[in-house]
Amino acid sequence: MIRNKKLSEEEFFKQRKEVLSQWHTGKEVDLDEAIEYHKNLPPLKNFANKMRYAKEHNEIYASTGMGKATVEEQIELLQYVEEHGKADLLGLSPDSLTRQNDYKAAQQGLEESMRTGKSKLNGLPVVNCGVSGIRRLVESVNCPIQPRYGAADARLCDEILFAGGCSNSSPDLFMDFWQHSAKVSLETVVNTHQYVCRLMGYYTEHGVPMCAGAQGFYAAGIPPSLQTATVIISLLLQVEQGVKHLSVKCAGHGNLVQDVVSSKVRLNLLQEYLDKLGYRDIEMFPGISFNLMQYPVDIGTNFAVVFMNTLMAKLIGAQQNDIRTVAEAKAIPTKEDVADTFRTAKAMENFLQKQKIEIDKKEADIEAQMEEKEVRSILDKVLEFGDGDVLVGAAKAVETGVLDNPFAANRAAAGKVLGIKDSEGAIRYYNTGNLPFSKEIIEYHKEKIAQREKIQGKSINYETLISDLLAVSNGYLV
Amino acid sequence: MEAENRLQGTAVTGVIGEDVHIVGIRIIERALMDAGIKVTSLGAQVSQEEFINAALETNADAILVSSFSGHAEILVRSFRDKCIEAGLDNIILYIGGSLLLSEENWDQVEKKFKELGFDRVYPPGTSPTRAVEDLKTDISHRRRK
Repeated sequence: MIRNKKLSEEEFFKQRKEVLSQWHTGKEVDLDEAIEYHKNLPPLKNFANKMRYAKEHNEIYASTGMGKATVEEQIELLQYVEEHGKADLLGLSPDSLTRQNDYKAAQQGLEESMRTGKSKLNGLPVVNCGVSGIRRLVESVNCPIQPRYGAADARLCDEILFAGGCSNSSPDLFMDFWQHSAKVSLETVVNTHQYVCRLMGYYTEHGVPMCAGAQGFYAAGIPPSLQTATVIISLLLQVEQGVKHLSVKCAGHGNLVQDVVSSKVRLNLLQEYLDKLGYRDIEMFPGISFNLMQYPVDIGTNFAVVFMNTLMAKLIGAQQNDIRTVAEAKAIPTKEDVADTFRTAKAMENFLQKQKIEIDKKEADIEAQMEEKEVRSILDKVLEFGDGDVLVGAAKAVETGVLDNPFAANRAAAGKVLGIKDSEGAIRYYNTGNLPFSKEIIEYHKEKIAQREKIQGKSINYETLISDLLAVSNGYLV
Repeated sequence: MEAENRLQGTAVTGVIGEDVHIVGIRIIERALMDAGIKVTSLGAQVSQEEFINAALETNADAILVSSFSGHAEILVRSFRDKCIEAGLDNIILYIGGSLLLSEENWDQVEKKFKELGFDRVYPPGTSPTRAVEDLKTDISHRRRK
């Protein structure tokens, strides 16, 4: 049964026994010992502390996913990027077998990689490496290590990562439900995510701040309000389980007014719903990534994407600048590729750091008003459906298309909503499906699309939709 | 886009294998529906058997397979034979996407998948309108047989 309610300590520890027995390295996890281990780490190796430091010092930290098959290779990569890329955060991507809980196959991949000296997995088999493996990683660098991945069931993987010294995760309900699996139910993903957040809450309550986060879902080509609504729901699940530090992430589309407004609306409305539902003392750290449908093949475009991403981060006041390696399209990036990318972002951050840059206020106000109305319409309907319980409501909202995703991998999505860019590259609702929007909202979007049709002298069709989705990857906005 | 139309045929769609690259097939599905084709959408991570069962249940004219993992050659092996065994004798089979990991030229890729039993093979970036028009033509031929 779905309910947004904190797991009792009894329920949590009962489930925990089962989780830790899924693979033999689960035995290495000793919660009390792990809490002591965290307390003895340098304070700035803690993710939330590092985010707070960035906020106080007006700094922006680039971050990207990186994963090798063995701890040794991962150490070599992270040390190189820390030194030569001047990195402040070091990403860690588990391999896809681990993300699908196939630890047996991951073990084979790990053993083969060790035997041949070549990475045979697309990331680190975290569970197989165990707590001791993760601690070797954590102790080999100065920056916090940031696990970056999505999975329907990350319970054991996160247990190992946290006990190993990592202090953040993204139990992102809708991302993991809609994008990472075709058949898993919302209830299953709610349960696994509540567990992970309860674990993070437990560490937090015992003096180790754990930072959770959410981005919503891959919102390529979808106006931001729908993503904002899902982000807020995911974060409300997290705080109910005791999480106090949140990465509030935004996926920019490239129209800076819309992107900046979207991040602000997200933070403001999250605070509003936290207050309304009685959650206190929650710390928020904004972050942003530039939405891409595919990695640009052209190296110049890749550098421009890093530039835009960093500019967006500056404009929204982000601590986290989620970028991609400039060589991502051609092959698995080398450590030199990653370091080059990080230095690009660092130089951009340095150029912008002391400057005050603002977007057009008049345009931003109109945009903010509309987006707030949209998000409130969705969230209030969700709460109404759930009689005040945001997750009960979310389940019904998914069924009825009040929460929708046209590009869900999961079969449980109405898939009626559709977005299209306007003439300035902001994303508008072409079809609002079953979203509970007023006539005013629907008309606002229609008018923006009509303006583009007028300027282009032709009506929107499927070719327009595809070209919109691929525009940024090809070096254009619209 | 999104105009109502009378029913022109029935198609089953999905992404084969463990792949979750869903955007391409979702756009095609919409274009098909707008053209009046009834779509049974299986979404991502679909097996050969699931495609066949859905086609049997819906008495489909066509199965449209999408694949972006680069493993398509392995994933669709003996698919046509299995369709025939299941009684889908003259079902229309289309495949599209990034089908192979190696960069062979398109004519060779097309030839390879036609030999595997597909009626039409599409590279990434194909216009949905083209696929819809092709399917309408193929369905009307099939129904005349």
